[in-house]
Amino acid sequence: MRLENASFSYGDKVILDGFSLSLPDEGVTALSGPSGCGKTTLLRLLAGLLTPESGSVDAPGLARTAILFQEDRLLPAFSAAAQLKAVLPRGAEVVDYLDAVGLASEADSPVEALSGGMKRRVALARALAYAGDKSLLLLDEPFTGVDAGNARRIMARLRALDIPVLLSAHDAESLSLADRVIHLSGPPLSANSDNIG
Amino acid sequence: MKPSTGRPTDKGKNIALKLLAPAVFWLGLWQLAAMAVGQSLLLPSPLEVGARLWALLGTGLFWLSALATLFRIVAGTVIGVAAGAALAVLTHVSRAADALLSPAVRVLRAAPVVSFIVLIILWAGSDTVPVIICAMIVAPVVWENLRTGLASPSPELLEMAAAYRMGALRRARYIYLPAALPYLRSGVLSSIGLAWKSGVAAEVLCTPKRALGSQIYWSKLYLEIPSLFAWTAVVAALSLAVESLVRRALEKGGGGK
Repeated sequence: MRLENASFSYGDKVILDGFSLSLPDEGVTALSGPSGCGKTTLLRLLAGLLTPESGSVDAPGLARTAILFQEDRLLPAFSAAAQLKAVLPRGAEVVDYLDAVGLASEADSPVEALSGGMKRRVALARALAYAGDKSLLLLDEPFTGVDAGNARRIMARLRALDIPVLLSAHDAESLSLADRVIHLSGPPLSANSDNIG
Repeated sequence: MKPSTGRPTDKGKNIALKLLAPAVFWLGLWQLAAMAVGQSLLLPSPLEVGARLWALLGTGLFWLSALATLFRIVAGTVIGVAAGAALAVLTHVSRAADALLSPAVRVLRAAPVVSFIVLIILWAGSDTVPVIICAMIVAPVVWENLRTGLASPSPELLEMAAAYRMGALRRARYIYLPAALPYLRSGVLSSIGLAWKSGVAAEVLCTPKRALGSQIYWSKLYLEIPSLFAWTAVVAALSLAVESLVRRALEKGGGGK
């Protein structure tokens, strides 16, 4: 996965200015940096939700990109299982993914009945399920509201996947769980030279 | 300490008070006004109207008129809801359809209903005019409500659907339908009263053989004012009953997913 000389701005505010970054094709990579430095914009560019004004995003060999947004973005009034069924092929099994985030017993619970941390885990399960085994998995602050035990459990599951995972995080706990960390600053975004591929 | 056993009775009393007190107040006020006017031709008393209503209940004409009007209004409302819903979906998904149809629907909504009644009497039979008028009144109300509902899903949720490549059917089922249903319910409920008002007004003007509106017209023509009040009370009672039934049905149908 490679971002080559990418530029992007919101109006007059330049977020990326000829920024390049290449990511390893396996393992969990964490993006760290202060709020507003451009982590979310970077993830959205990699997900194809934003188009760079110049430069390119290249993801050879990956069928698709799965993204966990900074907000849960769950379907109101539907059950936890329905959140996954809504994005998976008809008949796909969802309990395994809910089990991976410790919520198999809440499969039929409406999301409104779940706590903030549980909702986050449902959103994580949805991203995991959608990612399958041929995706780049992008997670924007995945462990917000998730307790340390569940965060470790989910991270173990992420590591077991044979796909590249890129997550943004603020807290030391989340960063310590990643295989490698890229330190970002900005805007305009710049990365620690040691970590740029 | 003795356990309280008065709750159900208190609840019953409260309901009786809530329902009866306003009825007694308004009927009393009506009676006083009728006594003050002193002329049944101008304002009959509630007792006179009640007696006339009781007499009408025993006639075949009453039941045939009530059933015929009920059928026309329900048919017009169903057609109006279907047309309004179809228009809302069409104007939501197609900009061209929105540009073409939305101004026309707004004009339809703003124009005086009596103009349409007079015009449609020229084109359709007297039994059909109230159905068409009901549909014309209901469709814009449902269209407006449903259109707002279809536009209500947040951009974030729609972006999620795009990111997860949800198809049109899944977006409809998981995003648009749950968002639009409360608006559709509200549109249907608020259009029922309008349907009755406009449908009966159409009946008054085109006088079908069997119709509550026709009976109102004949009562006015022959200065049978207690009958006019009685027929009007029947229209109001049927309108409220239908609205209450539909409300219950919609509340029942809006269960879990």
